[in-house]
Amino acid sequence: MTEVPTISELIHHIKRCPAEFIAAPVRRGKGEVYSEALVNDVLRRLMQQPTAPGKVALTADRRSAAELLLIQICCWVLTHPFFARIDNSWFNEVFWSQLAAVAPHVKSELWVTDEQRAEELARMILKCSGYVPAGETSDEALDRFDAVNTVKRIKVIEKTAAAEERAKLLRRQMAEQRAREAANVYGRE
Amino acid sequence: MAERIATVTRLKESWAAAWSQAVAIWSPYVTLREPTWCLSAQDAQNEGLTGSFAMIRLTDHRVVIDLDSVHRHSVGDCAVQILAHEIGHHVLIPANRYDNVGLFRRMRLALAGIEDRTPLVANLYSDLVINDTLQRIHQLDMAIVYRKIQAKASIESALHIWYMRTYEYLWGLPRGTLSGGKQTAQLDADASLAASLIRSYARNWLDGAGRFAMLAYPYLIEDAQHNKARQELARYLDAEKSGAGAEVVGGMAEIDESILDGIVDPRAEALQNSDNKGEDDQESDSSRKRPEISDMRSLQGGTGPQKRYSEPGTYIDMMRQVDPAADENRLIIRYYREIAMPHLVPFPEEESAPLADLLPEGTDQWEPGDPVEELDWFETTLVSPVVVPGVTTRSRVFTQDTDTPCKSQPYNLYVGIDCSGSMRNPRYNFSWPISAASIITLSALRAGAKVMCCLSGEPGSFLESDGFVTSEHEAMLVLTSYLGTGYAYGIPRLQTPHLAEVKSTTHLLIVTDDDIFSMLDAKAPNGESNYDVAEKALARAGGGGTFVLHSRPGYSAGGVSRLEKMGWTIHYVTREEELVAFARAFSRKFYDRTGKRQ
Repeated sequence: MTEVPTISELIHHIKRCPAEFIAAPVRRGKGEVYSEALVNDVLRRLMQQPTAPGKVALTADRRSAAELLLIQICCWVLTHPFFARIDNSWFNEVFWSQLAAVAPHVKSELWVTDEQRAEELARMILKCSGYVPAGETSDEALDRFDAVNTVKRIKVIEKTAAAEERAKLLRRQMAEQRAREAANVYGRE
Repeated sequence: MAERIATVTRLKESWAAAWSQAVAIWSPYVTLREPTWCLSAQDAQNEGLTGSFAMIRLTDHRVVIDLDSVHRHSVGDCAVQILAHEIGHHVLIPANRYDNVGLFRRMRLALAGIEDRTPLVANLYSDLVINDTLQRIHQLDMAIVYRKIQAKASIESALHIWYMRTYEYLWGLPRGTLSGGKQTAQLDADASLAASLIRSYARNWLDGAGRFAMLAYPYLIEDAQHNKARQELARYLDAEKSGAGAEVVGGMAEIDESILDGIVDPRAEALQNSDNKGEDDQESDSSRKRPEISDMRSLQGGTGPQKRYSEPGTYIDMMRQVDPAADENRLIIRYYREIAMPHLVPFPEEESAPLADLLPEGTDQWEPGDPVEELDWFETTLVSPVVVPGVTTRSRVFTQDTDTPCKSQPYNLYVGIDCSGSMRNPRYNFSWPISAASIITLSALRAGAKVMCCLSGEPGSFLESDGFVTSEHEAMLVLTSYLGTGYAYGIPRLQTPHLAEVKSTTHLLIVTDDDIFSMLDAKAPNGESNYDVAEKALARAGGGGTFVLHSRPGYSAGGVSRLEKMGWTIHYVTREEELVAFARAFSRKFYDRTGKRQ
């Protein structure tokens, strides 16, 4: 039976991401890291086929820098020994599309510096791979992923933004009314 | 009953034993006195505990624990956690009275319109920061305390659910462990943001205060929601009155622009961050408009010199929230004092040189260990021919003859302020005349002069200090009061007995407006013309007199000419703001460097 790491262990691994993985991806001829080459190298490592031809075509120019950076960070996450022990068929389009959805909402450096974002990334990758972190039930893991899920949170905030705007307006009106009242009561003759 | 008393007594012993352990969690160098243990509800009430089973006081650095309530809440075996939490209020947040006011200041800006809810939000925020620090960094099981209390709690209000859900996120607890079963997607999202905020600002907690209050805002707008939340969270409110009974904290009248940068709604921030398209676009981050800062600035206002200060009403409101028992007079004096301080004359300096060398004054015991050269053998042998060190040995004592050059005394000052209906109440709206009078009065006192202050709005009423005083508080107490009667400064006030026989040269300063000429045309109660009253007072004072008129040169030319002939100086200000510049110039002219007159 494959021993799944705890979420803390994965977060710790993510936070140790070397600077090379978060260097600017090459887009339109500019940048430092060829994301596509990196992904294919990681795949070869996971499949233990060092000379296999490249399987993934990223077409970097069509992707945002944020998405490519997140892909590079994921490549680092996948260097954890756990991922070499499990089947790698999950490392496919579904996985890529998840990254594309979340990447625009988070500043890239936060994935490796912010505790909550690192947890989100760890949980997202484990969920895609079909495993539950050690010490958690699948329901708990799902609930905790929901707790840090940026995409879900943004959707809720956008949904409640109108109510928030109303609250702000109300707040402003209340404060202005108070200021007017004070000026009227104690103003000049 | 006997059983309850025995249980509470046992609790006291075990909690007292846990105190040193709780202190050591923060630092073995923390020196706090053992808590005040309340063994009954009555004791707790006498100490000021209402609702919660613990509280802190920053004034005397105390922790108060209601052991009876501890027993009732079934948290008797959580002594270390609860005591460490209370100590956390003393060492982490708010830690001291200055930061406590700073916390309130930031949160009040975020809670515009519902500022009265600030103590509640500040307490909840402090608790989150402390508890997460204890749980995460000090590995103390704080969750167990909340599990026990929340097991019996009513969890209905949105604020309560959101707050407890934040703990669940922070500590990875299963959904509903502390927050009941009524979470919504919005509460989840807000709690997730709050958890992130608590972690991000754990060290610089003052910077996160405004954001936290912004998150709490929607759950507090409605009075019913607020009251319900307050009722449910009452047992956790242990630091709401921590600043009670303290001295007034200085430096709070001025608006700190940097605070406004922290008044940001994390929801808006999250949406803004979601525009991240990668490095190409991150360059424009700095140019992005921060949400609501400009709004906050316009709401906050800003008054006084350079528009740098809060309105006095806002200042008093905030300071009384920190300390509900604070004396309003002290607060308003502090407010105008803070505004005046940058404009005061420097402290007087004088040089003195010794006239002569050291003069022998007598003898004293010479003890072994004193410098040998100080031993006076002649005096010693006079005491006894047998020398016993420390018994018969004497040393010579000298004194220094110092120079006492004659110095000129600064003029005493009589300040008369028009406090008629045309003047604003300085307690609610910033008052330029009072600000200017404060600068001059405090400068005069600093230079060593005596000051007599008089507020007058006549016909109607007046208020004056008890003669010429040297007490800053007495002078400022008069200046910061308010009458709002009559139409001008009452010239008959210059007939006060304190000006009838002045003991040292006095300058008369009257701050008023054009209406003073109607007053001067009228007659004093003794039938004398007010012009004559002004002339005689000026002659008796001997140090000249200045009328500061909020008017334009040329108005009431006849009256002005008559006053000038008497020897009065007329200074016009067309805008009230100019009064501060006048006050600075006046103070420097009369009181800069002790004794230096014009």
